[in-house]
Amino acid sequence: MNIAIVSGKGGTGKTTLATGLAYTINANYIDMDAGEPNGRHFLDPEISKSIDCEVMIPENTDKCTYCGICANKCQFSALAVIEKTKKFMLFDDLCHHCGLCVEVCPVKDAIKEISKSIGKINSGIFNKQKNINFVEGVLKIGETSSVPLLEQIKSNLVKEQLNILDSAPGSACPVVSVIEAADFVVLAGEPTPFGLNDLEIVFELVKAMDKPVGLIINKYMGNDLLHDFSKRENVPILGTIPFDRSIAENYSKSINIAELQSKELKHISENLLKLTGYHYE
Amino acid sequence: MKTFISVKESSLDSMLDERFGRAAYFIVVDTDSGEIVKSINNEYINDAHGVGIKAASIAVNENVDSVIGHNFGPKVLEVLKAAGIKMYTSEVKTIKDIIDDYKNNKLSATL
Amino acid sequence: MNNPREILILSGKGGTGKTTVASSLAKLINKKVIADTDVDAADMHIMLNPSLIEEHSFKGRSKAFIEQDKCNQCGLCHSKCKFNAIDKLDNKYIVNSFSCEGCTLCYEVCPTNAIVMEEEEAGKWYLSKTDFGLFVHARLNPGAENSGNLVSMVKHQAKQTAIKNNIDTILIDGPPGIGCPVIASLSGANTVILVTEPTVSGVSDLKRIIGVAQNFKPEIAIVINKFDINTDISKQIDDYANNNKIPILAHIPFDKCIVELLMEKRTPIESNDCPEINKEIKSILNYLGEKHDN
Repeated sequence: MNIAIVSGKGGTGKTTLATGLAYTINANYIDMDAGEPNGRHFLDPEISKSIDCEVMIPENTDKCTYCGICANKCQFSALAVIEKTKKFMLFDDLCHHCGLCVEVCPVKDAIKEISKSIGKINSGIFNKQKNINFVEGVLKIGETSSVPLLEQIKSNLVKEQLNILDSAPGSACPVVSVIEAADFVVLAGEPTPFGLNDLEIVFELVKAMDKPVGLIINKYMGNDLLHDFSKRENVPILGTIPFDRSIAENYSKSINIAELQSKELKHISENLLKLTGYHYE
Repeated sequence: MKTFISVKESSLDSMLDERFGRAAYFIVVDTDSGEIVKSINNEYINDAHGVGIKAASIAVNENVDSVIGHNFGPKVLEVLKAAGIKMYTSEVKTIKDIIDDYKNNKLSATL
Repeated sequence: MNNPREILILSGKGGTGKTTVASSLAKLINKKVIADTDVDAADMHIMLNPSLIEEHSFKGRSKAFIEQDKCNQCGLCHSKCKFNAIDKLDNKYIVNSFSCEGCTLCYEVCPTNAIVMEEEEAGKWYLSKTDFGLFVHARLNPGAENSGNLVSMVKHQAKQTAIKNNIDTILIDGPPGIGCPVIASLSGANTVILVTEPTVSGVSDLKRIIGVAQNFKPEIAIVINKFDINTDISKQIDDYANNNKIPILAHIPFDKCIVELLMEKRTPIESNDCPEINKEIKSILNYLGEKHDN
């Protein structure tokens, strides 16, 4: 079972809660915020494997006639072909690795696909006694899209185990990719006008993708912003964590929240497992 | 000689469009006669990425000798250079004035 | 006129205080156009109370649709799609528009021409009036692709608005992360202010965002928010910045008053409750002002 943690807004406590939950219920932790993977700081994993995530980009061969059909058909303007001077130019920052150019090329074997690494997938364990898996995607600096990395991580998840998927902020393609894989979505909310605004946007997405959902209210200061949201949208509250300077200080030192707020985390975990129907031993 | 210019309207009285990839139109001008030989509607104007590559590719396909714009992005430079097309930059003026500047070698060549 | 100067606020890590810093500056800088390029989680409008002047639809890339009466269920589209965007449900092939990137591969390979490409709205962008200047903002439809494209559109419109109104500064609140919307925001930026926090995650993200930003060769400066929650790490950031010759413009203390004011949709500079914070924010302004007057 895959449980995704999303928030819309950044800094509301996704990683804090995802690593805290993984630690509390011995779930595999999967860091899918490949732009800024930070879960490792809170779980202290032992990485045993690091593989490149590769995508395929086109390269022409000596069979190329420089007809330019590939460049004309490319929807991402990633190719320019010049017949006169026999140039085949790929702008790989624009390439989406869709393979269209190879498909539409009228000459056999005139374009071949070569691999390019866009980042790494690191895996290992974070709890030596219990062999709990840790996986993280790390996007290479300068690469624009983490989606191929996330897809590769998803294809290796073990469905029979409990996996906590830590998402990137926002509500664009990488977040869609994470929610797609989820059996249950946890909203990590911050009860401020910013937090509510962004939570509503990502919640729209969760609804459109038809996933069961629950809410954790983080940095709770006693106002009703998110309680009202929960009532309005009929989203169950799994628990609350108070706004507290000492939590921020512990976060800064990468201390796992489950070590300090163990009561809250246990309470949230119980509610979460009840809602998802997952039996945890 | 044929030159390719990014313009706001398809006429010799039009001003140069300072955004090469996002110009409303491109015209091909015969520099000897000073006449427009072809006018092309820029269908990529609203694409957010790769408009420069598309515009440069149009110039390449028109088989022009040179391109005139206000400034060129790195991808435009790369494509036009690979095609052996000369690039000139000009202040924003009417196309008529720019053609005169071209004839009098007053435009600055890029690279 | 010359291109307006673009001041971009970024952070790498989310929730470090980008929008608080950006909206404070928006209320302090004299003459500017304001833009929000965090298009999939835009928050700046909450602080600026904008009144709408224009609303425009933003078209995304066309997406594939399968006309079932023409489909012969050969499955070629399904097997060729690199994005796994074509699902087989009850013996029917259906495009998952969340996954479709609009590459047209299926359209090209379909032997019965059953696939059509249809334009979809990916979001909206707006031009608004605020008490603090003209404001260009946007909203990406949840889950839509092309956030980088919408960012480019917002930046382009902000620039046109600035040129049209003879304004020489654009202040941009950017998105978190290092991916496509960030790269689209960085293109053309003159000054990048990185808002960070003294946490292990904050520092790790700061280094990554600096790596991305440097490719665009802007002037880079750092603001440390909540600097006092971990003075050891704050010191590390100071040293790192020093060694890399990046100026640190402000050390903003952790104070509940920022959040309390945010609840009332006010920035710290609109209140006398947090004098320390105001002093620090004003030193960011001084830095920008000094450079600006040149």
